Amino acid sequence: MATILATEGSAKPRKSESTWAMAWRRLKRHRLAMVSLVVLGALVLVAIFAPFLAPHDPFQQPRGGDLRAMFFQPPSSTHWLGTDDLGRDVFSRLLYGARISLLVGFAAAFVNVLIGTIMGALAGYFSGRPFLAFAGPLSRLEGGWDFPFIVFRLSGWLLFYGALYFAALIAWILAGEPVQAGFAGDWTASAQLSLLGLGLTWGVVAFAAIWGLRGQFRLDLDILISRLIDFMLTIPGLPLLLVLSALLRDPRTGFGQTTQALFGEAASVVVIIFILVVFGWITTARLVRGAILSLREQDFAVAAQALGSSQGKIVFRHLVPNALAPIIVEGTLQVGIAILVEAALSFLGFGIQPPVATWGNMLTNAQHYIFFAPWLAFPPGILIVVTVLAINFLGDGLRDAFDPRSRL
Amino acid sequence: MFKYTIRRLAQMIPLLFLVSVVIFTLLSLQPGDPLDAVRMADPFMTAEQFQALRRAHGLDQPIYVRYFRWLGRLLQGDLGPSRTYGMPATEFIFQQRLPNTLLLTVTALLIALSVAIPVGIFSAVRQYSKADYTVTFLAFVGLSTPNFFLGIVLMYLFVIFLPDTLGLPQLPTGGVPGVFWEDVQAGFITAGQFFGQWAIHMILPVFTLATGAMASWTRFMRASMLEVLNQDYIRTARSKGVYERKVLYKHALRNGLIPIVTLVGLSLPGLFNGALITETIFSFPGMGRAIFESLMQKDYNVAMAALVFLAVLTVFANLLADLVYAVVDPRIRYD
Repeated sequence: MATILATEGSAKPRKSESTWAMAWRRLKRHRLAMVSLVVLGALVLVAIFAPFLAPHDPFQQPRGGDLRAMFFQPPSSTHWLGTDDLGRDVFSRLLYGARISLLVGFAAAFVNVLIGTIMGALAGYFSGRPFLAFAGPLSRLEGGWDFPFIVFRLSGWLLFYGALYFAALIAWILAGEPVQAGFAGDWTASAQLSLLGLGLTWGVVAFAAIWGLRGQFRLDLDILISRLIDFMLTIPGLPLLLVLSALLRDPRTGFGQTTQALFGEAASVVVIIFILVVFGWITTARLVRGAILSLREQDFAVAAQALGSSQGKIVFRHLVPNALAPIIVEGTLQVGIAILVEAALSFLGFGIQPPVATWGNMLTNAQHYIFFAPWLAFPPGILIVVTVLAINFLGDGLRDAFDPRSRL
Repeated sequence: MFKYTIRRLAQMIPLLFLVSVVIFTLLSLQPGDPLDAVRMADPFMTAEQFQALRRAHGLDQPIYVRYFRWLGRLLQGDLGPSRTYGMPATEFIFQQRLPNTLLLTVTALLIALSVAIPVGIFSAVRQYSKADYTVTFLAFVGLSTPNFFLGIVLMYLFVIFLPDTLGLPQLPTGGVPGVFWEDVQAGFITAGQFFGQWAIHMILPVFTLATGAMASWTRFMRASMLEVLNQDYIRTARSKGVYERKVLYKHALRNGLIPIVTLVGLSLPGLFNGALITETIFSFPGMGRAIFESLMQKDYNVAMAALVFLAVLTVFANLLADLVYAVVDPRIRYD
């Protein structure tokens, strides 16, 4: 493992090379990974310089002349990869599509890994430990299951959870109409205020409920996060992503309005990154949780605790850096997954919306065009495969480089 | 084991409750009104009539009232009518679409397993050989190819390219054959023709769906087999002079296959996700395409029925995987 990584401050300068230098040296020997790195670098450069490289305007549709001859043109010297169903230049759209696809892939993977690491680290570190320093009002009474106590206890539970239930119900009823109207497309100040009130009340209710449950059943942060992960894994993923995408992109809902106002044209890109994060953080969280669970028992973590480091410092200065190698590998693979999911969503018409080009939405309806215009389908698809393949090889190379024993 | 099963079953109840809340809420908040299509279809409908129609469908109620009504009906097995298909949503999903999807996914699963297990073993036994590198490379390509692109490439290959160059017959690229078992009973076609028709229509979708699972399971099988082959008892068996074949197929394989059980259980949801895309490309009348089309047409009862079914299926598949794991691996005990 990468435990030789310098812990800050205390470590004296080493003669031996650092983990990073060693990993880089090993990575350089992994031929496929190096080729992949070059391919990815080239793709990123192409994406950055797309406006200079593209021979045509990717959004420009033909305006005059014989329009019939301009749609579905086969590849020629003016249009290197032909034109699509609206007469736009496929090659230029491909270059611009690289920008969106890569941006979404890298951004979504970064956020996924960030959230996943935080959630996983918290779950792993606090597993079996209370995360609040005090017990709830309904905490276990030591040795109290005989007659008078149980009446008190049961009525305590009833009162506590009954009160929570009524608070939640009243919040629903008060907020009901304006929030409904808001979701139906008419966001007024009162609707937003109601939604805020509803959110606050439900937050308090959920917090109090968890607090009570924690007191009763020794609920800890790990159980909460792990149950959340179980729950997310039960939800049918792809269909709900479609649903969520339709909901969040709609300019009549609050989220849609906010993103439209903040990001303008780029709103659907932001929405798709958000959607990819909803299910994307889970794998990283599980990975980090497992790593932290074993790391926190090791001597250096116990020593840090004995020296009086704060919990936050132990988790994020001592434990997470030691789990960084698998996190980096996972982050690399996440880029590929994000690109694939984005492409699938855009292909189905629930992702990035035309006229903005991505490799995914350039393939929309390609199953119909393939029989008379195959040049529309192959370039974006091949680029997706090449990019994701390069990312997967790079991830594989990184895994070998960081941990030579785990050669799969 | 029994107590464990009971506990897991009890844990499912709050989990599925939450999932149903999420499914219902997200679909109810979808932009637009589910009855918009009805209003579009009738230009003479007045606003009052439209409101009356909404009231009749209970759409004027607050969302939480609608949720509990829906849940009540769900528990009785009634998920409302499907507007576009003109029949109860449950009947549509479970009688018309589910059998097709199951046929597709189960065939793909079996094919993926029957390729992945032997190839994975072969690749592990010949570790670092040319063949192993080729298999690994192909598995990576399989993992990196999105379902929808693979489907399109296969269409091109088997409808245009191969028939043009090699003169192969074209394969159908969409739908299911219009032949029924009743035709066989009535003697219009033979059973062979019936199954042949179905098989020809299934080739492309099944292969499209199976490839991803095949690639990831091959890698998994290889890793699992390598781990077993490096263990002490294998070395003991070899040093005792047990034949290599017997070491591989009796000693190693039995332990190497165990993790596959969990893997198959956990990949079921992914397989259904893949089915959604595959069915959409190949116009295959399955559940995934029903979900997709019902979302497009705002016929949400169908989508809700299918999503609830998928959630239940996922939960039970996980439980089954854990239980089977305990059966095949005596080192695992749940108490």
